[in-house]
Amino acid sequence: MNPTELGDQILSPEQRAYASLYEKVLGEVRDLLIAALNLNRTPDEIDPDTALFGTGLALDSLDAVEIVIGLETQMGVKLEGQAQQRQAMRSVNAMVEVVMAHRAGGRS
Amino acid sequence: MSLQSEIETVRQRVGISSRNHLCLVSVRGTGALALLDVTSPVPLFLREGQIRHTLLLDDGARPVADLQIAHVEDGYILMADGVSESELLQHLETRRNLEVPDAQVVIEGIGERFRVLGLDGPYAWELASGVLGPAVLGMPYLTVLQCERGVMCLRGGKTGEYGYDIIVPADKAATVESELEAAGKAFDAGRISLPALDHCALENWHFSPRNVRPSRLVPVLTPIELQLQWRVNFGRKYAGVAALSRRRAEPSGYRVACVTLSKCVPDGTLVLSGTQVVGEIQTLVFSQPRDEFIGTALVYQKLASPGSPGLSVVSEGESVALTVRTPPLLNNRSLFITPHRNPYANRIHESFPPLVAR
Repeated sequence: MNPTELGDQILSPEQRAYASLYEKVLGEVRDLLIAALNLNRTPDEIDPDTALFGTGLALDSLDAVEIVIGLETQMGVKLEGQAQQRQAMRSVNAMVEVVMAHRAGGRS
Repeated sequence: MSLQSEIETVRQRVGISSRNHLCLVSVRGTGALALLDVTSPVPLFLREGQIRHTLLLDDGARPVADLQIAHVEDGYILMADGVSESELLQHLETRRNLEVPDAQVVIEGIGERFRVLGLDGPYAWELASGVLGPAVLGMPYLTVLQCERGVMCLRGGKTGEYGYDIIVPADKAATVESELEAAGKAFDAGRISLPALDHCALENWHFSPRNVRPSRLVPVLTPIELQLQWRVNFGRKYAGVAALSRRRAEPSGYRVACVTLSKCVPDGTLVLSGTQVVGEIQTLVFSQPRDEFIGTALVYQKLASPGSPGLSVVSEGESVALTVRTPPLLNNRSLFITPHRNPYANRIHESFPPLVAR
């Protein structure tokens, strides 16, 4: 049977917990991007693997500053150094991973 | 040169290619913008010299081409990957007749008069500027530069490295190509093929119509499943928007995700969670820097997030773990190279992060 017909029933408890956590953080990151960058998009239009710079959302260096500030002030995630900033801001999902790692007690 | 050598050329040096897979159409006249406005899925707020990246959809909202629209001196140039020149012309004529029949516009295929050459790699900027002039060095991403000899240089690329599409008058194409190859010797440049470009596009999560396969689970993959919504707007008039809006209202529940595997399986192999089918492999290739198979899979949306546990495929009777990852999968060298500051000649004195962060 098609999983979309079965819904969450097909998910194991571990998968359900992970999906729930991921969706929550993804929602927060989408909201942050829309608010900080004044994007004329609804959250569901921001695909998780969309690049932030170059292609995708085509943000610029000023936008990057807004994101860094937003991550720190709204989510408590401080990006240390250029390399980590570069990695964390390659895509929406890259930001989600950084926030999830931070909340799990790993390095931000 | 083997495919892996070609890919290494793109990742470490400069690849030179003939972009015969691209088609070119010129749209000019006072009604050009009106026509493109009802053709492009995204608004065309383009100043002269800028490029917009979008898609061409069929009426069912299936992306049939990767489309770049460049605003040039006398109008617009459309460069499409995935359709022929005649198909693109037909699409534009249909849009004109349907939506703006009175538009004063000249739609012309220019593939006979121009050739497209390509440069891709961390040092492509250096080779391009050496042959086309120093103004190339200052080109922002998604811009077009008019060069001497009627050549136009478009900065874009789909490999994650510096990339240039060079549109050359047909009668000068052989000369410019020879110049690129001669100058390319100083950069250990090499010829690269379309499969190498498509491979690099996959490693860097760039859309290529050749990397999308028909699916048994979702008969038509739209920009929603393909995570290409940034290339479309829902409130505009263009071919396919009605079907796309219907899909948005009634989602398929699947998303194409970036995946890695330790073993190769055929395209179309089912993705499992336990015994439940939850997806399907779209495309897999072997990534040498990652030393594993990488690609895309259509996955039930709730399991399509990076790190989602418990996914597998069956290969020769054996269960193989499938990992959803966050693309791009490489630390492209171009991220760490700045034109002027990091020339090819200095590379041995510079240290770069590994291509793959473990």
